[in-house]
Amino acid sequence: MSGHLLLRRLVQAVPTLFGVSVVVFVLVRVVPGNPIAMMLPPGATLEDMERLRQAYGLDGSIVEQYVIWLGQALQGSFGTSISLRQDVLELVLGRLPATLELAVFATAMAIAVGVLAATTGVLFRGRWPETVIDAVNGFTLAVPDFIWALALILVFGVLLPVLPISGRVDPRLGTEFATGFYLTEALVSARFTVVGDLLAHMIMPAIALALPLAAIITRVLKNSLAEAMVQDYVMIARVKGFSRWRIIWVEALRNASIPALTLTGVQFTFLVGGTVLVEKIFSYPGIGNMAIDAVINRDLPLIQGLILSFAVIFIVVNLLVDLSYGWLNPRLRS
Amino acid sequence: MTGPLLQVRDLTLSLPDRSRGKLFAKPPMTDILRGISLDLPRGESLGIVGESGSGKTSLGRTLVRLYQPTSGQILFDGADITTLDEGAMRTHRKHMQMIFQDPQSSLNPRRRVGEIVAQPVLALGVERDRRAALKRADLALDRAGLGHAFARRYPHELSGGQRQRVGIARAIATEPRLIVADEIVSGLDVSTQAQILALLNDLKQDMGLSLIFISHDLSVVRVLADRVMVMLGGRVVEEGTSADVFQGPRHAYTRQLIDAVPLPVIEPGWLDTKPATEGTRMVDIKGQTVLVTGTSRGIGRVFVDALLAAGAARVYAATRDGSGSHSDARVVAVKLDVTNSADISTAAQTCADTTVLINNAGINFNSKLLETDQVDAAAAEITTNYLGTLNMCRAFAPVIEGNGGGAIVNMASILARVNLPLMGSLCASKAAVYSMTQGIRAELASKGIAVFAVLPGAVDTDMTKDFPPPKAAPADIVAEVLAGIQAGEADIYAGDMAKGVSGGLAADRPAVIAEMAGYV
Amino acid sequence: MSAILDIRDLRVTLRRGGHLVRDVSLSVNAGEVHGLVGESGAGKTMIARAVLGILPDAVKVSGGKIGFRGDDLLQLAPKRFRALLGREIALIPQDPLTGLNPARRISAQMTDMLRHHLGQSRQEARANALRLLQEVQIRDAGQVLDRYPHELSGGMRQRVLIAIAFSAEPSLIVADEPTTALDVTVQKQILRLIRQMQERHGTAVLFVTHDLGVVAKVCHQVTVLHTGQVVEQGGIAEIMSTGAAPFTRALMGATPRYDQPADALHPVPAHIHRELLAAARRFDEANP
Repeated sequence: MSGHLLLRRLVQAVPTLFGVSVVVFVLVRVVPGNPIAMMLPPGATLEDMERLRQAYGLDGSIVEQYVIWLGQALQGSFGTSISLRQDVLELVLGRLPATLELAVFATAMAIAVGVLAATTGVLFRGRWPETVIDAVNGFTLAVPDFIWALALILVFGVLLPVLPISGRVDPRLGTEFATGFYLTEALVSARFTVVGDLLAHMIMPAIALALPLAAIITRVLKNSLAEAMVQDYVMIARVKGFSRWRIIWVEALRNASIPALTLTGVQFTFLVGGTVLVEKIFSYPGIGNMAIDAVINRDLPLIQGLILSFAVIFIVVNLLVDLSYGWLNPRLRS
Repeated sequence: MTGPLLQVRDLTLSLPDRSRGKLFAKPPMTDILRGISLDLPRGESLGIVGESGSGKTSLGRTLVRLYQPTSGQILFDGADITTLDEGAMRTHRKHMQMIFQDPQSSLNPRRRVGEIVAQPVLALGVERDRRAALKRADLALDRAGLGHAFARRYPHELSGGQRQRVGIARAIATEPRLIVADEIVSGLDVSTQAQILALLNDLKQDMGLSLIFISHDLSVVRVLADRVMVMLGGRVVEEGTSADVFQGPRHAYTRQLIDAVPLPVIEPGWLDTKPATEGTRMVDIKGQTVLVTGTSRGIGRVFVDALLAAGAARVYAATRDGSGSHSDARVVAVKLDVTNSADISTAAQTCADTTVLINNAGINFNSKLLETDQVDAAAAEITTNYLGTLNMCRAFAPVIEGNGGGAIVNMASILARVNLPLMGSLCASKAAVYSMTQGIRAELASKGIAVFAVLPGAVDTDMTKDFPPPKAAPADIVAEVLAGIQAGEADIYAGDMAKGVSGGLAADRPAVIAEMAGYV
Repeated sequence: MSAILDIRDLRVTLRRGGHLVRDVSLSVNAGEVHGLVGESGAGKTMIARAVLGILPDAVKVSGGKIGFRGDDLLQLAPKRFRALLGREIALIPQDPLTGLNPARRISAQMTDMLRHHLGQSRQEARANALRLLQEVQIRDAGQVLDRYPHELSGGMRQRVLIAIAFSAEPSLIVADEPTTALDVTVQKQILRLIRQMQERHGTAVLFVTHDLGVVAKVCHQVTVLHTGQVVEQGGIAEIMSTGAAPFTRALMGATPRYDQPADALHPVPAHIHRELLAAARRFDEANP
């Protein structure tokens, strides 16, 4: 089943990626703004511009440009960044690990907080802890991630300066990394000072990204948990003499998590999208940060490469979500 | 108009089984209804009973063309509605209405009761004017015993019984000729249920309605229905007037159903009584490991596919030389000559997980008994047909018992009960098989092994090429055999000819013997 | 014979007002099946759930006592009450399709109580589960243990739930309409199984049902309820006799019977309902 599912999803991913690439390609070209003009120093001639247009393949029609781009993309070449004059694939792959580590860390935090809040809320159904959780949750849902980012900087960076407010790792530590996955690498090689420094840099952007997601998870999971708690099998577990806490965790949580998980899969994409602003605010060197610069500079090849990598992340995450359904619901396995 | 209101011939319904689908391939089809025929006279009520999965609900929905049948024919009021599209069905819809099991979910919670009842009146063009339709709705609500004051209420303000009356009012508002009521009193308290049943009975009388009443509750069906149809596995196992079926059920499954109904009468020991099925219990093929002998051709080969379709976990397909392969991984080829005792004991070890044994292997020399050079043929027929089957039973009864019980199915022939001189020696061997089967049935009854004798009529295979037609298709015979096993019929008369001969033997034995004697 | 369950003047009330059970008393002896019969709204399920301590949030016990082997369940500390549940008091639920957790294997659901409450090791608990499945006549018990609920038929699931209910040898089992969702042939097997198990283990059973046919076949004692009041109480022979209370006889008359098709369509006469409703009203006036 899961093998089939994997194959089917991979096949389905092809038209998705194709569609994304077409839409992005057309969009970035109809939006006003001339990348060539921005690259040249003031006073450049029209011939200079034409030469550069040819050099970047921007002289043909959109269809021609797309066919050329697609042909190269299929061979693994996504062109050269106009503003940074480097290979797009290298640029994206260089920055992607930072964003992935941040996004996964933030999602894990959101899930942990969401599950804890939802189960606690259900455990204290109708009593004051539930009221508090609902109130905090409503507030958290209403505030977007970049506001959290600014608020966190204000509190823990300025008023109470305990955390670094920019970058990914303190350069004074002078550590060298073999891969882009700094945190993973530091953990594996047991360099705990570095781990501490990485986490100190990551914690604020991660919290900013995690809070809205945690609120959504709490709300959905709490509702489905409450539904599961009135099922007959929960009644049986109560009559077996098990405590409410154990019943929530052992009997209800797995059955209740499917709606929350589906939503987390969808929301993860928004979270990755949220990195665009949040990374910029914290000068965190990920692809979100890079995306803003690319848009400002009208760096068409880089924008395309970045958006496609967002699309790939989306597909992979949702595939993982689909695969985990089978684990959560045995009926879907056979 | 005269003639039955509803005539159904050989109706089948197959739906794709998505649970067994493979990637990119069409899912296999599952038969939901198999060869259903019925006549419903005007003003009569037909009860359809069966347990879950019997197909009774699918049948009801197919009859009013909510489902498109796969094959067969439905005549409603003389018109063939089998393949009409939704547009063409509209003219018939007002004459055939359905009442559903769950009034809660079949009533739109945002509509007032009057609008709900008027909705089909407008939609099916009985009335074009909204006010006239609402007027009809009021009338229908009065008839349904609610009173038109209810027209302004919402469904959630009503009790279960009242909601079901709304369902009835909606169904009768278009003045239909046929109503199909599916489990409409299950879930209601008995006092409410009694009221609804009385109401349906009155409506049937007053409006001259024909009624198809689908229910799992035999007592309810008995009270309401003129005729009863008992369903099992998508088939009709018994049909007749309610009085006949309930007083003298002919079919083992019907007996079992009736026997299981707890009447409000103190009856010590009732719980421990086994249904009166002559010691033979129903055997579900699903999940069983089945050994079939003689699968190289004819019925045996058809058995393998039919068993797979019925959900057998594994099928040991035995042939004399062990050859043959099958695309389905559940089929295991086995070398087994039933006249070879070494083969049999090997098979009993290699096929040690067998739970159902189908003794199908047999030979036929088409020989008369007294023709001079034919005694060898008679000996061979006895060796294979009788001794082969007996030895298989002897070897596998302990195996099946060790696996927690199961079934043994012996293929005899209708010719076991009357000799056809044209192939006199075969008949004698089949009579021996039939007699032996009765004997081991008695011996194995206490060991959890159901023993079936199959008495088919002539089947269209190589073996019977000299036999005069009509001959049944092997697939039909096999389907009847499996249905018989699942229904717990001890002696399975498969095919029209077998049933005819069996009936003839019961009615006028000498005449049948004389007729058979004619084929010399 | 001493009573295992002794309910005295039990009163169950909606938190926003209104009685659901009006001072019901009944007792169930060891080895006895006590039927709790009535139509919907009669209060039979409320009584059962009060015994198990699983009343809905909107409902509370407002009076009386539920005696269980000398203790009053209503006065027990939650922890001590939980210690009785499963071990001394168990439940067979109505719907086998929802009574088992779809995400957990049968083995996990059969052994969790044995392991966590009775302190059995994993192997011990599994061996016991296997024995129990065999006792409820499940073939291939070993394989069934490793399955998920959706892989079993309705009848099989109800057998598993019965096995779970009996697993700690409780002295009282509450069976809440245990066969209502089953096919009639399976119902008979399950009824037989419950009686066999109950007789073998000497268990007291509080059997909730709306079906007088089922009552006639499995119960020793019967309490007939209407609007939360006891209409009639007694041995099965009395309840089924012509001397029974008018409401009981009316219920019998409304029950369709295939063996008496002609005289089955008698709804319960309105005056009987009226009288019982008036009695409930009088009770409510005296006990606001």
